[in-house]
Amino acid sequence: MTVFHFVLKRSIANKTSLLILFLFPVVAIFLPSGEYWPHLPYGYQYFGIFILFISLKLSGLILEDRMRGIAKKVSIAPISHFSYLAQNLLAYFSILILQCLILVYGGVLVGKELYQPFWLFILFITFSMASIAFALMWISFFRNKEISMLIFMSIISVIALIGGVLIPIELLPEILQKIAIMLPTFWLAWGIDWVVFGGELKEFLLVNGMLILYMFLFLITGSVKKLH
Amino acid sequence: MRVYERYFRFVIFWRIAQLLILAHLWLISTAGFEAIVFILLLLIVMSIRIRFSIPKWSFLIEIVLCIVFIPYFPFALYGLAIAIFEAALVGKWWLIFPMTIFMIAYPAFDITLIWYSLLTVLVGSFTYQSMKERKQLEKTLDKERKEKHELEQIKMELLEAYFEVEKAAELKERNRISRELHDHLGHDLTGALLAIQAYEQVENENQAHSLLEQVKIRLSRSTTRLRNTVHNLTPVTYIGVDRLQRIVADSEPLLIEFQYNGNVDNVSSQYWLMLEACLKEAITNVSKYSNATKTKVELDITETLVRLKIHDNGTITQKSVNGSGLRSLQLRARMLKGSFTIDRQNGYLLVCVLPIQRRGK
Repeated sequence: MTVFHFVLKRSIANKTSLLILFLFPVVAIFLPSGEYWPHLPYGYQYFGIFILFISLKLSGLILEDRMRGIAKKVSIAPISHFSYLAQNLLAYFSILILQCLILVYGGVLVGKELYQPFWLFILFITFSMASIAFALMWISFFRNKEISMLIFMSIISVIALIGGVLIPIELLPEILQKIAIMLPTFWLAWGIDWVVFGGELKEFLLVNGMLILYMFLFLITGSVKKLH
Repeated sequence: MRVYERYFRFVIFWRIAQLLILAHLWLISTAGFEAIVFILLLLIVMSIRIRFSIPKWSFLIEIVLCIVFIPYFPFALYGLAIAIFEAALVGKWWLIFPMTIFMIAYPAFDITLIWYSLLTVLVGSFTYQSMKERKQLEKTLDKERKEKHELEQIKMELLEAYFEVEKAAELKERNRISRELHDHLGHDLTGALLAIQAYEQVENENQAHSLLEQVKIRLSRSTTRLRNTVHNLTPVTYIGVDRLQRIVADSEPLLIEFQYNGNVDNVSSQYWLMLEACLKEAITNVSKYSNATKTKVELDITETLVRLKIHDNGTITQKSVNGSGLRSLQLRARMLKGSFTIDRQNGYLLVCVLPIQRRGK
């Protein structure tokens, strides 16, 4: 687990990273609630977008490894590509779990109305997995960290908008509402609605199942061994 | 390899196009999220197929998925085309028959579906055939490459054997000369010397005369033997630098300037053979391909190496691959631990450098 420890240390190596990673969830707890929409406080509604950005920021380390030729060195080291990748992803996932925990547990402590905090936590965890896998796939298309980040920002805004995280999906044209089902953010928004309004557990399992399916798809596509 | 990638890209393109068709059908239908689950699962199977090599029968996964999802999403019937394509891609194009029967038997049958499946099976089979042919060609190429490698290996071994035979011949010749000198010339000369010494001591005139006569016969015989031995030693053909000069002289009407410096005795016969081959090859190339008017041949022999440099003033800079003659020379130069280089930048320049190994080393 050397890579895991190292990646973990690298992710929180400087103060800026540390602040971004752990101050934001704390701040998000104290963000106000909307009047009619969203049903959860803003910090919780928009947390999915934050997870997407953090995933890309974290997985940028893999891209950096490729750019700096570390990936090449790793490929001749006695460690498999799978192990290197798995330990990297595990480290990012651990950080994201911690953030979700801070946000949800902090919310409960502060006394925010979270309806079903446990299920919300589970939903965020599942979304984190899909999000990391998406970031991994995303960086496998790029050679440059800055360019990948820039395009990612615009793409994220669009999928968050269409997916129903930024605005209620009912406000969108019908065709976009239909297309939205294809986006992971749609399932996150659906999950949040389920947490708020409750419903059959089957529905919640479907949401999580979809997110896990997305995770597999992105992982398979993104785990290509690339040495630039 | 590049052609393979092209096939691979085409297959991926076709797979994505099939999924897009399904996505379009979902958009125009009233199906719910089940269709998305279905498409997502197909997408996952597709990415697994691209990423890893999975068994040939994996098209069954698509068939099962389609059959499971048809009740929720009628257009899932179109997903069978994906299975047909994957089957055709592994040479099982006949799968279209049971599939067609299934499609016709299905209540929501559509003739477009048959056309679509037919197109898919055609594309799949064509790609399969092309890839198969390509694989066969690659195999043949590999085989030929291997054979070529083996031939080169044999050539190297033959060259080695040749050097050994040459060494053995040299030793044999040396033995013959020493035996000749020892057995005949040595005996006669010693006999003559003893006779001369005896002649000085003898007082009887008749005896002295007979001894002198004996000396005369022995010396005369020795002279003949020496002539014969030397005659046997002298080769009929030219060797060494004379041979190179001969080749240059024979190459008229080409204008070739030949000069050499250094001790030509330092160079062993196998090196001369190599240098001769280089010179011949270069002259042939100049006469065949070059528009040169003048060619300069320089041979430098130092204590440690021999360098043959052939340079012409031609202007044709062919970017051709070295022919078999040049490759063979390169191989021989490598065998002798030397180097053989050709430069076509500024006229045709051929340089052969061979290290001189000291005898006994």
